[in-house]
Order: sequence, then C-alpha cells, then structure tokens
Amino acid sequence: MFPNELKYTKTHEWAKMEENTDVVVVGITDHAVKQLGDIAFLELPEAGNKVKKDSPFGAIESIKAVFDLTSPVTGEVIETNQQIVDNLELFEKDPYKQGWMIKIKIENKDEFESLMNASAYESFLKKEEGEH
Amino acid sequence: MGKIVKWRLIRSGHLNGYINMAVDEAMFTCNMSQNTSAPTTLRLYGWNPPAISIGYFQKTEDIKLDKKIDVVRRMTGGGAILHDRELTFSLIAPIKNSSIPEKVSDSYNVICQAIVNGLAFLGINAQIRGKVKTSLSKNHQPFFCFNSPSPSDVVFKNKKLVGSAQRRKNGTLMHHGSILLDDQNLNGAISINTILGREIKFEEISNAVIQGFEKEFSTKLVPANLTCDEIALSRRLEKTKRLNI
Repeated sequence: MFPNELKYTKTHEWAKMEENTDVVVVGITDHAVKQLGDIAFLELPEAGNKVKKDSPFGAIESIKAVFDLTSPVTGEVIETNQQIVDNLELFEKDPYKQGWMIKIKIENKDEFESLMNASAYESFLKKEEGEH
Repeated sequence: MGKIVKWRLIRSGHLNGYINMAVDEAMFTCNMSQNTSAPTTLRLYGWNPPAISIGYFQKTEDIKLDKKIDVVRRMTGGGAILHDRELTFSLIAPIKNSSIPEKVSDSYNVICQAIVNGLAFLGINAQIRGKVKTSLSKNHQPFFCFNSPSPSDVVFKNKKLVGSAQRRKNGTLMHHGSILLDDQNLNGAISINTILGREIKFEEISNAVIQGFEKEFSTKLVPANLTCDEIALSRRLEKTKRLNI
C-alpha cells in the first residue's frame, strides 16, 4: 500500500534517502492527503534553515484547518519544492514523487534509519484507526 | 447506559482580542503537553472592544482599515472576521480519546452539528451548508470569512450564521467558531437577532451552545477556571499578539 523504499513518521510524513548522499527528501503520505481534504495553503522553510527531528518545519491548510508539518530528521534545508507550492493539487496527484516538499542535509543517519518502514507504518495506521 | 464523559467549560466573558487569542493558544499548548490525558475544553467568549482576527495564512498587507481597530492573528485557518456582536467558541481536544473524528471534514460535521443542535433549542432551524459551488480560485477567495461560503458553514436559509476554522498540532485539535449575534451588513450572512426578531442575551446563546454540545457528544460540560499554567502562559503570549497594521 505504501512505497517500500520510503520511511514514515507517526505524523504522516514520508522520508527518502537520496542514493549515495546524506540528503533526505520529505513529503506527506497519501493517507495524510486523504485526511486533509482540499489543500489551500502551504508554508515551507527557506533553503538554509535548520530543522529539528519531531519539530515543526512548516504548515499546511485545508478546509480552514491548519496542520503543522513535522520534520522526520535534524539537519539543514537545502532545497524546497517550489512546484508544489504553486501546484497544491500535486499532493493528491503524486504525493510520493512530484509531491515532495523539502530536502534536508541530515546530521545523523541513525535518525533516518529509526523511522518506520512501510509495513510498520501500515500497522501503526491500523492500530490508530482501531483506537479511535 | 454509557458513562457520561465530562468536559471542561470556560466562560471568559468579553475580553480584548489579544487576550482572547492568547488564552486560546495557552489552552491549546497546555492541552498538547498533556497529550491524550488532557480534558476536552469548550471556551465561550465575546470581544470588547471589537477586533478583527485574521487566519493563520492571511497576509497583513491585505487588511484595509477605515477605522482604528485591534487586529490579531488566529492560530486557526480561514478568513478574517470582524468580531463585534458575536459569541465565539474554541473547542480544544486531544484527537485520540475524544469523540472528534480525525478526518478534517468529518470533524467539522460533528462540531457544527453541535451548534445546529444548540440553535434548535432557540427555535432556529439551521443547517450545515455541505457542498459549495465556487468559481473562485484558491488565490482569489474573499478576505473575510463571512463573505466566503464554505461547506462547514452553519447556515440559515442558505445564509451564513456561523463560521469555523481549525488548528491541529501533535494530536491536539482547536476548533474556532463564530456565531453572529447581530447583523454586520455582510453579503450572504445572517445573525441570530435577525432570525429571532429580538436581541438575544449572551447568556442565552451561550447556554444553547452548551446544550448543543452536550447533546451531540453525550457529555456534561462542567464549569471550570483556567489552570495556573494556562493563565501564566496566556499573559506571556498576550504581549506577542498585537499586529501593527
């Protein structure tokens, strides 16, 4: 259901390590997109900003509801996806490729490795739905 | 018969805009730090003096004032509101362990239904608007909330009576609702006083809203005061709320 090559957070971000680099690409899962509904605004940090694992790095608004975006890793933002800022429908159309939001040069690869894999994220979602 | 869940009820009376938004943010932050054990809280308040609140993503340069008025930014989304004669409520809840659905549109539906229930106690047959047909792009939405139809509006004869917005962070929800008590000459909006043909007392509309929530969520709202932490934090936040327009 969720791409196997990605890692996941409990706050529904996905993270992907770019091959042979210390750069992690971050987006939100299609589960998050479905929960959000029609996305109207997106706020991303500028390149050069520092982000911290489990801390907010931006915000997104849908149906007048504002959500914090939470960083899966600590590091420096090296690139933001201007295409998604200008074309918010890409979250729905292609959340795992064109829908990426920021690239982070990470400080500690262990933080990335400790994120959930696809099957763990799927189990987490099932547990969360069961608890609700 | 299921156990009745108790919620906390804060009646703040009429306060200025900076204090109102500082108190809401303090309650939200303190609730978030308690994670899922925090009590769900409904806060009811008015505004004195009147103030304009703008949504999280709105730009201050888009505000055009023809008279001096306090302007404050909300933590929640949506459009600007002139808070004059209205009842505002904030609902703050841990999304897990509450009866609030995670999906945004579903959560609006249950909370707005509570308001519809409350208005029914006053004899007002209001509805949730549901689908909206709009030809406007996202970048050309009206600046003011009550000029902008949204599926989550509570309407009376298709005119907007209650506007809503939300903030979600770390599993905690804050829902803002503004109930128009008196007309503001806004296109497509209507007030409680106009519908009833009389001037409603703040106490009366407050009690109706409380009953509406108790009915919708099978809960008992128990009057309470802000905690010491909430008061201390709101005093610090109040100083940061003033927007220079």
